[in-house]
Amino acid sequence: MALEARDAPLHWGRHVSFSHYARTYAEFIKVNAAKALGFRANFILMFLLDIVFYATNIWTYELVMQNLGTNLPWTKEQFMLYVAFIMLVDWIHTFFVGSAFWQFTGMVRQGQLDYVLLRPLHPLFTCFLSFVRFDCILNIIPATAIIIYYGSKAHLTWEQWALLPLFSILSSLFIALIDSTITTMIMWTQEGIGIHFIRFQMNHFARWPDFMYRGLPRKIFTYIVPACLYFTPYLRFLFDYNDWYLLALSFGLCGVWLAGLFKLWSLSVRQYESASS
Amino acid sequence: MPGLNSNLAKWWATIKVAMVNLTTYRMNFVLQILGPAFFFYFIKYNLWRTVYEGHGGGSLSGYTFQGMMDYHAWILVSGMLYKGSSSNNLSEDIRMGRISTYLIYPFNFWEFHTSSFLAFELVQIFICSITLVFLVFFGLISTPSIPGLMLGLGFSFLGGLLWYLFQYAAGLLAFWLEETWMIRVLFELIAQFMSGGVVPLEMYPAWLKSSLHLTPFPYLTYYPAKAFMLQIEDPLRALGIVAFWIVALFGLNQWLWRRGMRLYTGAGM
Repeated sequence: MALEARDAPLHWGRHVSFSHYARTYAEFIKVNAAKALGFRANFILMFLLDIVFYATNIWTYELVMQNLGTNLPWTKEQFMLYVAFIMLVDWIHTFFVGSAFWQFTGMVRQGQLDYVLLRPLHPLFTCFLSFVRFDCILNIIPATAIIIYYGSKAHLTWEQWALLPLFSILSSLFIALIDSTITTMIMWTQEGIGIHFIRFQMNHFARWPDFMYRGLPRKIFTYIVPACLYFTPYLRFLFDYNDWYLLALSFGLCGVWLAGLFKLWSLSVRQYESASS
Repeated sequence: MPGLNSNLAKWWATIKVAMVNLTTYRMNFVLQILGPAFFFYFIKYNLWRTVYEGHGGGSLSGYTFQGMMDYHAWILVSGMLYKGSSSNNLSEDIRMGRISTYLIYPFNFWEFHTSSFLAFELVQIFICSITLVFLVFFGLISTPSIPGLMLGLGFSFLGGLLWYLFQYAAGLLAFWLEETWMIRVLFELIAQFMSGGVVPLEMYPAWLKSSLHLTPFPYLTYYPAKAFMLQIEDPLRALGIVAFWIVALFGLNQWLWRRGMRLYTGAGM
């Protein structure tokens, strides 16, 4: 008698409490910290790397800004604050989830994902939150210094200063959600180069405010593939509290993409062929 | 010359295997073909259109809007021809002790990785051709001339070789370092900025521009892009400088290999 095909009886973390997830995340942090402290030179190299990254970025924007006209919605100081905001969000994203997207390719191709799927936690939690980059912890210093510098030049009020940390966390959460959804497609393509290319290009697209783009590209990257919502909505609201539309749109799309991520994940697991079998 | 024929046969066999590896994952391959042109339109074209409109048209540092698009399109093409080459596998081979096999094969470590580089170039030439057809067909760039294509391909190959030698040197540092990817990323960041990959070098301050032309970085993308556009003022001087850096990096790699082999124990680093 042939066996009927059915979905694998995976846990999906349905009966696990929030405190269990929190304790597990604390363990992830401890393990990653211990691993990072084994290679102390990496802290220095990562610091140097980020200093070069920040310097080249700032200089690039300064070069382009010299040639931009004066009929843009933002002043030069507001523009550079946008750049500083991007760098701070970049740090948060890299520290908490950045490494996970690279590790995911190996997990899929080498069969390590099998062990993750069998655990009594939702696999999305393990795949995308278990790699914390402790070796870039020192880089919070230059990232914070840059945003304080450009925030002072833009003459932010105390309310705007208070909103900045919250907005940087929300922005990095949004980006992590989009990146997780895109990275999940590696379970279909098996190879990650093309998928990571898409992630990078969306990030490059987002490195300029949405008003730098026009017509169809702006519409597509606002409503369908929301790269324009990575950073722009937060700064637009910060500079003008009446400009809340994009911020509300990004919150709404968060819910849509979260539902999409869970659905895509369950479809991907169904068609996933383990390398270890 | 049976010895030379058999050596060339080994090179060709390795190149074929590497090309098959590079094209194994079809979806990934399709994304590599379509993605760059697609994002060129969405990002570079739109961004620079806004910059030029804000500037009231005209030219920026000697570039009209069409000239800037041509420049960035050729930067995209020359970037595709050099950038994919990475020493990931090389440094892992050293750290995991896998280079022991290359020490006894009749095809050494350098020959193997250089064959992979040549295979990569061949595949990328195919991908770049499709990207170029797309960009010309949709009127995003001016139609290139045959002499420009030939000169540009030549400079792009030299730029690719230069980058491969950089990456090879970074990979050889695995004899001494646990992690080499940070060195590679650092190179890439510096190269991206100093090679004119972000904005043309004409937009840089004069003091930086003149000294950059003596470094290897502009020969990765700026000079190949200018070669495609037939805008290099002194091609022989450019060739001389890039040849100097290629020879210098090759010598450095040979020295690093000899020093590294003294430390190598065959059990992984």
